[in-house]
Amino acid sequence: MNKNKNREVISEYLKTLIKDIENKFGIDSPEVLSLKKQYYYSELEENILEKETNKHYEADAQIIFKNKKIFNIERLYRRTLVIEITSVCASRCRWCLRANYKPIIMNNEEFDLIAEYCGSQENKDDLKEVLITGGDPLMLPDKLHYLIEAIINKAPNIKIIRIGSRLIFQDPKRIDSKLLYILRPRENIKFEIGTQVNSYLEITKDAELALKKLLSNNITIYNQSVLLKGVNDNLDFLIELYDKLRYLNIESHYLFHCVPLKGMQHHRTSVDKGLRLIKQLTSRGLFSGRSKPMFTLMTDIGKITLYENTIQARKDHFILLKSEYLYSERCKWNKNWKLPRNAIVNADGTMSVWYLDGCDD
Amino acid sequence: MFKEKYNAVYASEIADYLKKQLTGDNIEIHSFKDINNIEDNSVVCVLKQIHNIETLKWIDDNYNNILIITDIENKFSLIKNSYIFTQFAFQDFLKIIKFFFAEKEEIYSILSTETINKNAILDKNIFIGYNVIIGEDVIVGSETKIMHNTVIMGKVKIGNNCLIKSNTLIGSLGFVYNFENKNEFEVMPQLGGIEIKNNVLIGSNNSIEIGFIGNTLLEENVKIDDLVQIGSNAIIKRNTIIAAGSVICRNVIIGENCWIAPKVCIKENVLIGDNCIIGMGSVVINNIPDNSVVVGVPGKIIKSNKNIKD
Repeated sequence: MNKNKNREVISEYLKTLIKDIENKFGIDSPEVLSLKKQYYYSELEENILEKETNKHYEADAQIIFKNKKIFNIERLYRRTLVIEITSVCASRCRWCLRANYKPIIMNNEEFDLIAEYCGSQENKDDLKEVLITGGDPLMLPDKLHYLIEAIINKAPNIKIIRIGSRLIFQDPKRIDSKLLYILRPRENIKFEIGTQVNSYLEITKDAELALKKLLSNNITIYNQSVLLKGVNDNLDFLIELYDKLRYLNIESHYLFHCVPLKGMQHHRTSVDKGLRLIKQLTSRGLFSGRSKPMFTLMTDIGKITLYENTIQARKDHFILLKSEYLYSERCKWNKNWKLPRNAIVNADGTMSVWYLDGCDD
Repeated sequence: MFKEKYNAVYASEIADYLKKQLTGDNIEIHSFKDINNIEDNSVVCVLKQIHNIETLKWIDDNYNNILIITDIENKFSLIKNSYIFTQFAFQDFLKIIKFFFAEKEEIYSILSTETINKNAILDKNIFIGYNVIIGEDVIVGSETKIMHNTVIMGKVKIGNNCLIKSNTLIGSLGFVYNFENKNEFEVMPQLGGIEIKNNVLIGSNNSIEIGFIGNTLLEENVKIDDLVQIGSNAIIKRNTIIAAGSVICRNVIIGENCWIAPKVCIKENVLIGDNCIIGMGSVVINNIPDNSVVVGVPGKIIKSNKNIKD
């Protein structure tokens, strides 16, 4: 996989959708580009800045439990444990955070161990929620089923199972009765699906149908978009997107700024442009405040939502962002966690971090 | 009974499962496809008898991330796709589908209620399709599936975990007449039944006749393909396979582990030993000893004392 990491993975459904949109709007229309830029390889990916890194943050928990090392789990926050069960996806987004991770599919023994770890004495009080992600966990219904059953049986302290998936918008026919059975409403546990739609054109009839099936199972669905150059960095597209999401009963959670990883420069707008768009979106009265997302940057110490005075300084394309994360707490939750080089601990114990800005054309 | 299952694996997992070498990148595989209907990120099978190296080139030119299971010797190189060489490509391809992309469909229900006699004994976890007629002396074991339009009459006992496909008649009256009086053929009595043991497969459009006295017997693990006729009091012993279109006349005994190829005809009262192979279209009129290979019309033994492992 690493040899050829520029290779595209695009589902047949998306290929057909792109063709349909080409016929409707024209081959080079912004509508078509808003989909193509997400999935098709571009030579611009070869432009790599020196300051860009392979991974967006290091949160690998490296936990040893019952004398066995647990792989593929991350922990940045108190309540939540992140489990990456696979690196397989229905289609590969060009700006994937985990594009440079090793290809993995976890096995059932590892799931048992993770479930026992979640329910263990040391985690019982803090850990309330797991985020199953990847890759796309919904691509592997059998494994997901096993992991969910294991967590329900072995870790009753877990109240919410969150699943990160774009399958609804990448290959909706895979949301079948078996998956709905796995995610059926149960006592004492709630399912949430965090999805990602970046362009309103991705919300097709098929995707709506899949969404409705999941919503009728009492699953909360929320959306975390990424602000991408040429995909959704204009006000009209964003308004259309967030309106559609609201009609479908999907919560708008974050609007992320695209992460500074190797070869992603051409996807990234400046932080200022993001701020300008989010201000126009939320404060011009163009649409309902009920569907406003939070503009957030994924930094090396975790997510930082931009509020007043979050930006402390600027220097050579870098921005210093102040977070409210306490260094001491972070070390408590993840004992292997080390302060990244570009982060500093402030006098009040909070952390600030330097973040590489993008640029507008 | 299988149904398709959504799943995704890496090519390396498939290679590990087959214990074979993967050539090319460790790509993601999302489904299996027929060669006439390829999609990216799928596993396909290319056979040297049907296809050739041009087919492989065509796949490599037109598709991305395809895992090819092939029995063509590896004297080719692919750029965008990967392949696994295996001698038994088609069987291995089916094994991959079964292990990664299919699951057993467990349906237990009885869809035809009016045509099943109330005195018939039906065990638990069975499936009975539409328009199935079951007579009063019939016993059906657990986990057995009887598909649509099948008729089961007479003293019939069916074991556990059998599958009887559509349009089959079990309990047909045999073609047994006394031909002495040319003016009036006399029907002879048939008072026996049929016994089918566990794990037997009976294909569609089969006809199995009841015995004169005693039973027509299909032992454990016998597999019978479609369009087969089995005469009265025939005995088919364990693990024997009968391919499509064969006719087994009355009183025939076929031993264990035999392979009866398509369109074979076996004359009445013939005894076939264990571990025999009867070639396609053969007509067997004499007894055949154990471990023989028989072909032709009339059937001739072309190999005796065949090693069982052959």
